[in-house]
Amino acid sequence: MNEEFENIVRQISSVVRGKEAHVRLALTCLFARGHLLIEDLPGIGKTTLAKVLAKCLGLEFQRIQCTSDMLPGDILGVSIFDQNAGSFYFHPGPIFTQILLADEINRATPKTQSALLEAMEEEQVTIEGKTRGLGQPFFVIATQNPLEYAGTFPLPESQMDRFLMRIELGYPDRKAEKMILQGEGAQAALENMSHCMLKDDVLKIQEQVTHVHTSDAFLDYLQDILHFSRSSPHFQVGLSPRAGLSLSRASRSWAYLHGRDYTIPEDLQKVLLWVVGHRLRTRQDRMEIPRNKLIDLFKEVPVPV
Amino acid sequence: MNDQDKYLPHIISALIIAILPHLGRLPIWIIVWCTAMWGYILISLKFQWPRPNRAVRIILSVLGLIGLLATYSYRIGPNAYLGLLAIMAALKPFEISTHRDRMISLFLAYFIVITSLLQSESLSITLYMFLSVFVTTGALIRINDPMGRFKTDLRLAGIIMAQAIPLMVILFFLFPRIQGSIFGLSQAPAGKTGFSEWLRPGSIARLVENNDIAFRAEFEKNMPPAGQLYWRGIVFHEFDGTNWHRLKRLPEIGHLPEGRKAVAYTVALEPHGDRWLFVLDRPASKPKWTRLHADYTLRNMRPVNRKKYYEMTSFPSPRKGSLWGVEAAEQLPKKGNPKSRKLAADFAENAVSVNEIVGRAMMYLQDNGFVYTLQPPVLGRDPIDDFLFQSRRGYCEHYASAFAFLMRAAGVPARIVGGYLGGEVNPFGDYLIIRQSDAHVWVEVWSEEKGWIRVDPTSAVAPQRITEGVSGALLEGEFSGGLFGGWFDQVRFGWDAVSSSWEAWFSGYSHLEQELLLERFGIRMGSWKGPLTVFLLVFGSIFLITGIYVFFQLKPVAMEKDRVRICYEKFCSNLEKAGLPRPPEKGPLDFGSQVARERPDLKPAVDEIIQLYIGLRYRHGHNIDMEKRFCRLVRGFRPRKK
Repeated sequence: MNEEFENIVRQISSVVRGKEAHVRLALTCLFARGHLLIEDLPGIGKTTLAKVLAKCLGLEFQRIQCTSDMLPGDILGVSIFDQNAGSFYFHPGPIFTQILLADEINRATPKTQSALLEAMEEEQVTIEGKTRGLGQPFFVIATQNPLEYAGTFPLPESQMDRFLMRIELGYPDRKAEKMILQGEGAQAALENMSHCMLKDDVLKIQEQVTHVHTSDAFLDYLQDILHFSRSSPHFQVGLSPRAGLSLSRASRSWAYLHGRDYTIPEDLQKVLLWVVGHRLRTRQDRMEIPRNKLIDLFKEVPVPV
Repeated sequence: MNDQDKYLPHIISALIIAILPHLGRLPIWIIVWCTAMWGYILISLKFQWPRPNRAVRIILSVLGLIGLLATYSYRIGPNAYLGLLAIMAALKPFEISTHRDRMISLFLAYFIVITSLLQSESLSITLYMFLSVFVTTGALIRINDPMGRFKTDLRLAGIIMAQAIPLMVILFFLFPRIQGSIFGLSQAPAGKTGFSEWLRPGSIARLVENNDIAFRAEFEKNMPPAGQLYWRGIVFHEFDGTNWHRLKRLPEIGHLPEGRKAVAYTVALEPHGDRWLFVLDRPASKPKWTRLHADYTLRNMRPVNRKKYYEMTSFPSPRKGSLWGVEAAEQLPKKGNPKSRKLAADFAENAVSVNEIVGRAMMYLQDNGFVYTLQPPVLGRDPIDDFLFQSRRGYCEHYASAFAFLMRAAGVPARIVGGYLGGEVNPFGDYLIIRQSDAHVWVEVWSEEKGWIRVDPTSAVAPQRITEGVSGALLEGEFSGGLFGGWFDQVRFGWDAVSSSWEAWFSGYSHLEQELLLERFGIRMGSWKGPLTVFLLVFGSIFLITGIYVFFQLKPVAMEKDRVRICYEKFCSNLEKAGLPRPPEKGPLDFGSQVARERPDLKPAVDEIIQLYIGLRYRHGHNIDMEKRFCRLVRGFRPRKK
């Protein structure tokens, strides 16, 4: 196990109680240079998780609360005329940060959604004809409430694809909840928390993750999984090559965080559900597939010897 | 069109193609029923019409069953089952909603395809069945491969069928044959055509319009001249004043006829539902399962309900045969036809030989303006008198009947022979096609010197009938055949040649032929060893072919020398023997910890092996020392069962 990584997980878990597995996944996603979609009810600790991540990794943090009257400019920024200087002055929006929490992304209009998602994909924004690069690293955590439908614009499947992973936090277990209830509150814990690393360390790890070796045997297994999703009668559409790349990136990141410079099938199995969960639909009614069903389905793919 | 309905057109086309060969056997209302149901579904797909719900479907099924019972009330045979299949196949698409329904519908289509064999085993049906299986398999692949294109699916179906051909050939030759036809159902012909037990004026003439094939004959060497192609089938001895009857009890022939210039040939007789077989006059051999009677007719032991093949030898110019039948051939009704009796007495007066009487009678027919026609007038109470002295228009049965009457009245024993005359030569296969329209009757008279001799009174009136066939002899406009000439005849003859040799080969391969074939390889079906050997042979060869195929398919993998893989597989199989099988979806690390959890005693060894395996398999680069060490450890790893 990577000691440094374990340390971070421990630190974050001391604030976000009982969510160790999710913290690991969030870090995997971040170091794989992907973006994270959290689907859950309000009050579960999504914002806290994002804040803790930013604080611990020494990154800037911004948050936008999406609403239906929000315009792309509210996220990207606008140019304002400065009368004294007699010229336009660019006022950067909240997107110019390192960790961006986009709360309730499905409340924003499709226009605003796509502006944000485009920025996520290209890591740059074009405003009034001028292209501006975003800070590095750039990590978006978007949240949405799966139960609310009125006044929302669900993300189309093509845009869901932009998120490397989708996780659900879920309620904390009894023990963890007791600790939350006993504790002093996340806000105070957050303030007491110290940096675990600096921005440059994050960039270094992101770089090293890309050098994690994927052997032929591993890629065979990955391809078997992709092929299975395309040929199985259970799925409406199979996984795209982009999904394949995402799986490879997430597996490498997971392997790196677990102290290996090569991937093994278990890495893929650990991240698989979170990477493909939002990309697959049942053939029958185009609904999302419950996680335990997905586990059973992918058990049909044997690990190549 | 939503996802569930996407494949309905494929499934329905497979069903339609499968059921098409049965069109002639199904009642009209079932055809309308199928068309309506399938048509509704296909149209409803386009316009989003509602699909009938469960209650409507049940009502439709019940209605279909009632209709079926009304149609086939007491004749529950293959046709009724076919009707049931068709009715249900028409309803099935209404309730297709899941993958399982689609699979069931396609298997139903396969089943309907098999039932085509009830119809016939002809080449055209066989070729059509290939088409049906091809389309159905294409649809089957289609519903299981939604990402693929239909064109590639069809290609795959073709490949699968091509791969199945060796198995088909093995099963065809070696799979134990059942005596009788497939499914044990007899293929009784729809309606009896051809001859009946008695002969009356008009019974042959009605056959002329029937262009169906009666039988085919292939000669071993040269074909006899057209004037000798008298195909004997049935002999009529008894005359009741109007009709001629065959004798009810016929003894078997004492010894086979003899003669000069034997002709050997094979007959392929179409099923006609009766027992008589047609042979060239005069038959001199007796195939298996037949009986040669004293009147030189050959009869099958059982009614001919399937195509029958038999090899024969005949003597066109026979030596004098047995006396049998002479007495019966002298019988006449006591009264009736006085004028004819008088005419016969004139013929007999001062005659020195039978030949002379026959000659006089023939001259009479030739000289008195007799006409050979298909539309003779209706005859009165003395039909022979009416024909000879008033109408003078008739078909072969009129001439034969009158002639035989005259001969008997003149004291010459005479009888009527029914059969076919001539035939059409197929230039492609070099064989004769004899149709129902070639039906003919002629007369045999008894002479002390020569025995039974053949006299054809028709030849006195219309000699062309003997040399050119019916169409040449009839009055103009009476014969409707032969509308198309030239290339159409070429195609017709060509197809007949191909399909009849196919049928001879395919249908002719019965359990008897199979036994012969197996005996050639020293396998006797009589004892228990025979069937067992065949069984082993069939499945052995199937496994062999499958094995060869699999071997070539897996060759690239098998040939690759991958020691790590082999050793890891050995490691896994060792653990499996110790009661710890590797679930196929488990990676090495998970498997290692699972083993360590269940068998802590093995943990150190397993951990080391697993770490080495992971390093070899998933790490960058290849370390030969590690590989050796890994394989050595696996060899030394012998877990015992707990």
